[in-house]
Amino acid sequence: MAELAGLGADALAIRRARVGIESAVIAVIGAAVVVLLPRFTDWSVPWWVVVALVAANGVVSLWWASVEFERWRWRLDDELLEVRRGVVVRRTSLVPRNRIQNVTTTVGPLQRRFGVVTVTVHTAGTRTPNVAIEDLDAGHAERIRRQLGLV
Amino acid sequence: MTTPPVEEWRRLHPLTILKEIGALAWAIVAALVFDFDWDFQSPALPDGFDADSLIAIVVFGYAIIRYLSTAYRLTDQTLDLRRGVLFKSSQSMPRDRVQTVAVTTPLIGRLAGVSTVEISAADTEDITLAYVSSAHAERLRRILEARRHPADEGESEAEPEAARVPLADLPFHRLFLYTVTNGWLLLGVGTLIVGGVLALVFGFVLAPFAVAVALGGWSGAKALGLVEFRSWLQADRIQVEAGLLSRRETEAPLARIQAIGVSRPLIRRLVGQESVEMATGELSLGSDSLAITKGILAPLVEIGTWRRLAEQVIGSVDLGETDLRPSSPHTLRRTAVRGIMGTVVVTGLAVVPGIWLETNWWLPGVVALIGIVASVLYARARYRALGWAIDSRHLLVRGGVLNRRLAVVPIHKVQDVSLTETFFQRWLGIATVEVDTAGVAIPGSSLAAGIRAVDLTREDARGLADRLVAAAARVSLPDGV
Repeated sequence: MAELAGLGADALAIRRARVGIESAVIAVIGAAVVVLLPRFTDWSVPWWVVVALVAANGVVSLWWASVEFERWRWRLDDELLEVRRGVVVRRTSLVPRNRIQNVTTTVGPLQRRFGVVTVTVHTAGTRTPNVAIEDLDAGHAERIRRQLGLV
Repeated sequence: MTTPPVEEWRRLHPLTILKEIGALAWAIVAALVFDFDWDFQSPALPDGFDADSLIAIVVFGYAIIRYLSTAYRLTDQTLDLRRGVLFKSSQSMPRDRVQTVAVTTPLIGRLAGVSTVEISAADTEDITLAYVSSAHAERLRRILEARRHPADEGESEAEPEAARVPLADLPFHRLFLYTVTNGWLLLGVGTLIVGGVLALVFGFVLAPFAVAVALGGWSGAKALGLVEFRSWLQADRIQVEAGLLSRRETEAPLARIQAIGVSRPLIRRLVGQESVEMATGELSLGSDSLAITKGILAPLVEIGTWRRLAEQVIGSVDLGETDLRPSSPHTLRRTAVRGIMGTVVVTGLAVVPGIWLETNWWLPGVVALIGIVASVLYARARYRALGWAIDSRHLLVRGGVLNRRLAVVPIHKVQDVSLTETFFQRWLGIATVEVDTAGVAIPGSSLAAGIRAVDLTREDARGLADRLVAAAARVSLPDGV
């Protein structure tokens, strides 16, 4: 039985990068509000509110990213694919290999930069959502695809 | 008669033109209502040619062209359909993928000898042929169904038909019992009682009664689709027939049945009756009548009959309700706490009318008291209802307080398994196991709620999940379903 593996270090890096992008977007929107609000209305927002908001969101998101990253576990052996994830609600998906109908890998622009992919495994099951491993490093994903292709 | 390898393209029944005109009835109605007028004079046009005539010509013309441009044919591999006036489309369905073939004959259709044939297949869009002559509909169904028995393909029509083994029926007098024991009716009566109390206190009268009538009407409409319900086995297929105004006949190969569900809404349970349902791969829910009859194996039978029916349909079942193991007793705490949290919210809401009516806070107090007692009683009832059992061939799970549900799944039909632990479950050391099959359950049926073993101890849950997955991994299914 294969050992449960976590996601690679790149998966944590990409999560942090996403937090960075999110903070930048909030900062831009906040700056726009600070600059534009007094021009068009009688209201104004002090700069420190935006800075505090961005900082608080950044700290919480970074913490959450690392906690969420830590929860991911997966393994693929001769019989099944097992994926564990979730912080508040923990979910374990068990997929017998002979039930896998197809495997999809998705790569976004940011993921390409970090060399990670999202691997989604589909069964003919109609209720539960498809099982996905997010931000798995590309080498592992390729190995999973090749391994499943042999079944 | 044998099936030729490739048949000619065939048109639908000419009555289809009327249906196409019917589909454009809004244009005719609009023409009559708005009474379009124009000042277009041309010597080329006959006198009295007006906008209404033009609309009529366009509608009739469109219907006829649409009829002429729609055709289907059977090849030895596929069922092909081409259609469309402006946008041409053609569809090809591999015959070995056909899951169910349903023939519906509306009341008028019965007089005119035409039927609608709906063919659904795994992974592709359904094909609906409306209308074809009833005789041809029957022939199509036989040919498409015969595909599953390659040995007698083509010869099947010459051979004597396999004997019918009846499963269940619903005589007219029991239809009434079915309707009054429906869960929706219970909800309707509940609404009526709550509405009556509210009417006494606040003076609103209409709204709850309207809701109650709507719910009662819904149960009535649902029952109409089940008039003269009959289900039977023929060869290795299950067939179901029902309906008053439009009679519907459905059949599905037994091998495609993914799970059997039993539902016992409160009143039905009290009179000792239950409903038995099934989930097959791919059920399309095109119209209401489909949703009602498809998936029902027996609308109303005595409690316990499910086992005989399940055995007839999916082979011998060794597990019974006496084999069910209880969930973890911690589920009592989880359910009660959930109920009490709900009570807190409702009590909060009750404070508002309390202030408004100046009732001196007795209203929230009463709500809180009722809520807490109800939560505790509900938790106990739920604990008694929950149960799970597994042997080498089947998984049996039970749940539901008001609507008691039971599901039997042949283990080899399991597609994947998930284990879920919410925050509170983790604290109590319990988990829920959900099993997924390729079966599509009818909304509102017992199987639609999911096949779940709720609040097992963490060890039991993991053991059950591992056992299910290992069993599924050992059996390969053709096409994976």
